Amino acid sequence: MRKEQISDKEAMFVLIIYYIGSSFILGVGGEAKNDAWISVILGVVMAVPVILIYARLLSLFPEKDLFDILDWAFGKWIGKLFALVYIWYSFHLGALVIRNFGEFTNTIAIPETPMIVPMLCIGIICTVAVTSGIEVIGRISAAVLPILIIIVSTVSLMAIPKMYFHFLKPILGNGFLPIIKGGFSVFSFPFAESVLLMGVFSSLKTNKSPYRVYLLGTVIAGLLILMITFRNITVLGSTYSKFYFPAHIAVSMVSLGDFLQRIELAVAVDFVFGVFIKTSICLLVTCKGIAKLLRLNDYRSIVIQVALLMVYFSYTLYDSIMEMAGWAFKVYAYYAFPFQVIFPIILFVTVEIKVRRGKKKLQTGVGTDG
Amino acid sequence: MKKFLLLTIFLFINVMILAGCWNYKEIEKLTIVAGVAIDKGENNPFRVTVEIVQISGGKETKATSKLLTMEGKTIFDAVRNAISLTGKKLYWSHTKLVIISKDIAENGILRVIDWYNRDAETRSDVYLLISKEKTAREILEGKGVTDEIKSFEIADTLKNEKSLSKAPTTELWKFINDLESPGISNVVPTVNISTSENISTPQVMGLAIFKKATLIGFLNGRESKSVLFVKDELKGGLILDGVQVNNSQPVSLEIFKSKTKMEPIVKANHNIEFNVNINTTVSLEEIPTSMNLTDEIKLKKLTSRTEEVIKKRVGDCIKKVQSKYGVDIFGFGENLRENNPRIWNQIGNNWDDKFKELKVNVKVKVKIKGSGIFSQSIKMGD
Repeated sequence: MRKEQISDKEAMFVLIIYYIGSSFILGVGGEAKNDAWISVILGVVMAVPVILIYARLLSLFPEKDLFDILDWAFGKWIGKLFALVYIWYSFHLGALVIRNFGEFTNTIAIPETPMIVPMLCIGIICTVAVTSGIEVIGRISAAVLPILIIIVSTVSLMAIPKMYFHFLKPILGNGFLPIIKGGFSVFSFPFAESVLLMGVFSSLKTNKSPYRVYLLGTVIAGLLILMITFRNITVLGSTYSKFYFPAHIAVSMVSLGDFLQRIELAVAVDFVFGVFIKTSICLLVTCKGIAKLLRLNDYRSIVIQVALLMVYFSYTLYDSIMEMAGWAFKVYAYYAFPFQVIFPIILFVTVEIKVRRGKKKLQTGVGTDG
Repeated sequence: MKKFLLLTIFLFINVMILAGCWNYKEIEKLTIVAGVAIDKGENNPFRVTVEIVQISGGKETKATSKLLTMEGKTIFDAVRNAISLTGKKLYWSHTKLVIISKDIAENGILRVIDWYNRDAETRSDVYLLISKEKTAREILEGKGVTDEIKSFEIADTLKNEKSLSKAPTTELWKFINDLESPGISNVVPTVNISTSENISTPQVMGLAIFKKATLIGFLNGRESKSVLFVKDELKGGLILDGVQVNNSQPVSLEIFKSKTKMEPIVKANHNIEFNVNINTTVSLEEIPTSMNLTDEIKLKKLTSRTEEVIKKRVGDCIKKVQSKYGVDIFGFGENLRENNPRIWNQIGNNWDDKFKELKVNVKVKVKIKGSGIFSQSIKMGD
């Protein structure tokens, strides 16, 4: 089989869209109310050390993905157990993202259409993308991200007449605790979710580039999310955190003269792209993991099945949008913590010890295995 | 060939399943709502009147308005009952305003606006108005002057209010936003019917004061201007009564720019005072008597008189609200919370009680920048 490779630029674009995908529309850091923008900065800062760990792991093992590294570090059985854990996480995350999309279309645009319809549509597109491979996803990202950024910045610029900057005050009015809480939730959603990209970035060209890709991608996405959060707060004020989809509401307030208004659909398009890329990555990682676990020749043979399972799973995930919001803002950060921080740290420590003990073992281990 | 066939079939199926979705709506099948008026019903808690835009084709497309009334136990109930009258669902995306009657507002309007703010079909950037007439429906029954559709006309009035400044503009989302802030009470413009030449037209003038979500009083157009002065929402309008030259008719001064700065002063024992500094640039637009405009002393006199008038009026307005209504519609508390959260956390609860005793120092600075396109007042030849 031909080795798939993506350039650094494409990888970074994938990462950025992966970050901004669902956080653009769901809004982040709602706990901190009008200080959510500080939470975003805090979240990025908190994410940097974890992201350095991911990058270090990737750069130690060029051309190896998360599951190979787990296998190498923990041996056959425990490695498989960890692999199973990450397969579950990416599968679940993909389902969550699809569900967000389903709820969004269902609440905002087409309340009478069964939710499974838009969800299935996204599932089908993702199946096509994943079957085509990471190269195709990378190239789509490279083509789409500039458009996304242009749309988002134009819309934000147009929102300036509707902004009330005094909504930002009082800064730190509720003390530090809500901001730290908000920062933690920004950390776990979306920034530390990039742990899953370790399953994809085996396709990077050099072993120096994971650092560059991860750090630069995180900073750019952080700035974009900061901009959006800032806009949402200044347009919506303290009710910002009460909307399910604050970005959509904020943009719906924008009108330039009498002719340019109701542009919220432009934002909805962004969201669809974001969900598409994010779900594709989750699906890809899940399939790759299952393929490694079961020693399949190629992950492509199971994409359709996993995608369908994912869609059905997401359909049965919650009863209502209230449940979704409760999960996303109260439970998720704690649920995801082990996958995002604890397990990677265990892996990192194990790998570092093994590497320090004998460099030779690493080379042979990496060279022959997989 | 086989591939081509497969692709064709696939595309064809796509056309079948993706072209129309469940919620497909034709424009002729929609009843476009321009404005809503909400009253107490006779048999039900609510009576909702909607103004519907009817578009008739032909050589010239014309939009005419029609009223539709329905009752219900809740707002949404009433709105859905419209189907039994029109056979079509109401379409809310073009709605400009919500008018609420006095007696509904006096019992709290949260139960009225919640549906409107929550539902996905409605938009929360509509204007909110309180009817000063007996019912809100009467407003929509009036006749428009420039626009056939009254709701659109009232919306235009509110949009152009910035060069009249006798009523605030309150959008629904802002109302709810301020409802949630502890340091500010809401004001909503009032609308009444004015009859001229046997045509009754809606007139937007003055404001209604809310304590939380309950209506407790009204201020007239002149007092509304003072409120706008303090809230720094004044963008235009005139200053006249009282500014008189030689005890004759008043001079009309048009406001070009106005900036108000509110600053809290924290004294010992957490005593708070507020300084309100108003900076206004005006222009002489109407001088009924002869007056030498290049005479610096006279101009200075006029300036200081204007300053005094504004100061007195704003001060009176603040005192009236403090003593009569006791709710902070100016946003002093909000200003304190934003700029000095530490003090606010200590004294912020029961703000309205503290507001009643609040000392406010008003300082006004007026700058006359011009006198229209005419350099002198008109002098009659002897």
